[in-house]
Amino acid sequence: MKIEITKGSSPVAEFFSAPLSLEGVAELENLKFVDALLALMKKQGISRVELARRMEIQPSRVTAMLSGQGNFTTQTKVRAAHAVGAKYHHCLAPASKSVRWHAWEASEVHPAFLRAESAAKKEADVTFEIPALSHEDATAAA
Amino acid sequence: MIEIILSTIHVGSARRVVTLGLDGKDLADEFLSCLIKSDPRGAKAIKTRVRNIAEHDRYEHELTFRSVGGGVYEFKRPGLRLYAFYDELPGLKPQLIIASNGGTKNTRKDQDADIARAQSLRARYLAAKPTTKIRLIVLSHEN
Repeated sequence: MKIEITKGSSPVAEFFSAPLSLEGVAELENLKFVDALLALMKKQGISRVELARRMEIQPSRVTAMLSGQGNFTTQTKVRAAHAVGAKYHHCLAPASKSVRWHAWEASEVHPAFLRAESAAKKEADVTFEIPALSHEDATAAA
Repeated sequence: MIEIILSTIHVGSARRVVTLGLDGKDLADEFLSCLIKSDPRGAKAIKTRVRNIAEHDRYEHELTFRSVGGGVYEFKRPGLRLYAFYDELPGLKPQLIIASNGGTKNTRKDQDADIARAQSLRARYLAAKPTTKIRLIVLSHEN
């Protein structure tokens, strides 16, 4: 076998290599969400019908959701996550930054690496709360 | 001797997606060219699926990229199917997903014929590959 590599372009290559539109980015994020959902469904042996029952929606809507069609609402994502015993997270970051998600059990982390507030909670029964915005803060934020 | 031309359409972190040209005929390229003109929305949906799947070394999704037998998978969107298979070439990184042909939602008979065509193209490619010079066309902006 001999492989000859050359550079080239075609309308199809240009179409596929061009950046995704915002609509495409949204669809890609939906597909990634569905990938994670399907993995959890598979792990727990949850069928599409069972997912629909747990989400209290029609099985046809589950099929459409798992196909990555349409635009999911946050509520749909939260309900789907809840139906498979998961929690939906999201994150906004500057476009120039890379983001990496990591899920772990607190029990698997050495105490020395626990977050400071968790350690403080255990030792001194200290709670951390974010105070509600004062009227002045809310006005300034607006 | 069969001529093999693999034309890159997307390079993901795990897989390079190419269309398969055999003996001067590239059915996947022809299908996608028509789709871009006749159904831009559908073409964009296939593009999104290609982007997603090229980020995985091996991927399977019962509704968007599923095995249809004989080593062939289908990129699927309601009403559209692009058939493809995995392959490896020595020293190439990332390795390949080769799109062979496509089809629109027709009868089950039409779909079976498209799948049979994809399986036949894969078999011809794999049979010819060891003794044939393969021309791999990479994207013009690739390093």
